Amino acid sequence: MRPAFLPGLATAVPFDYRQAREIAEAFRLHGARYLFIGKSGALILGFPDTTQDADLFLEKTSENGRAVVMALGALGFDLAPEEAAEIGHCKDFIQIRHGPFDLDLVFAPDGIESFAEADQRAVEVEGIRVCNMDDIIRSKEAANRVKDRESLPRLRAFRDWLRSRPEG
Amino acid sequence: MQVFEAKGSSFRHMPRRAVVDGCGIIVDDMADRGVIRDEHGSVPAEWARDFEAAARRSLRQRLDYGFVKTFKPVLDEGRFRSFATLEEYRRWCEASLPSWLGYGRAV
Repeated sequence: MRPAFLPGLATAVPFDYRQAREIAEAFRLHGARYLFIGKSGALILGFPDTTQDADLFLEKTSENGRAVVMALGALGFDLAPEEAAEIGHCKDFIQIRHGPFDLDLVFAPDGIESFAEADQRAVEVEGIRVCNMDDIIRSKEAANRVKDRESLPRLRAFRDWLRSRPEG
Repeated sequence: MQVFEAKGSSFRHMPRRAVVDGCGIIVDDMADRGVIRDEHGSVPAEWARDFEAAARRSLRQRLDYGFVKTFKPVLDEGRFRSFATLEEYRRWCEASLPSWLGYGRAV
């Protein structure tokens, strides 16, 4: 059994496998173009570590912004009209903390030129679309926060290990 | 930037040298390329064992146990935030969040 979170310390339970699959399905159904990025993406690719929130890199087009709003509605996010409008307008970075799980939406991550290019390099794991390790590392290198600098040596080692495998 | 040399390690292939930035954060603990990382990108043995063990777990196991939730002051106190640019978000993190959360560029 997964540990329950103590009341009052957070508004959401940890993100999990079922929710990742639900995102993939809802975004597919609504034609929303997304890629998991950050350490949540690395976990999907097999990186052994922990993280707190799911981060989605989204194509920055008004059509995609509208599709993302529809997909989030299907997932149970009760967005206020002004919140839906900000997602529809593809503001560069959006944090949602009142849905069925916490979610960060990134329309313009550091270190990645375009969604289209990242999408071409992306990996699909059990139907879930994920940035490849090079893009995850590039975005953390460009962000250069303390927590990114802490995780980069191991992320780079994981990328090298993936490449050294026969299927890598 | 400072470089620290360890006298030894309990693991034969573990890092013996680390590069630490001005905030005391290890930015490259495989900096001693002759020992830890060669031109083929070799990986510390202990980490390689971790990666191999993770590869034997299902995606469900990796995600169900890889995500944790701890309360982050300020960050988890709002319902919804949006930023026109990522730089605006970074500035908000620097100004509003406790530095120990690690969202800033300096501790």
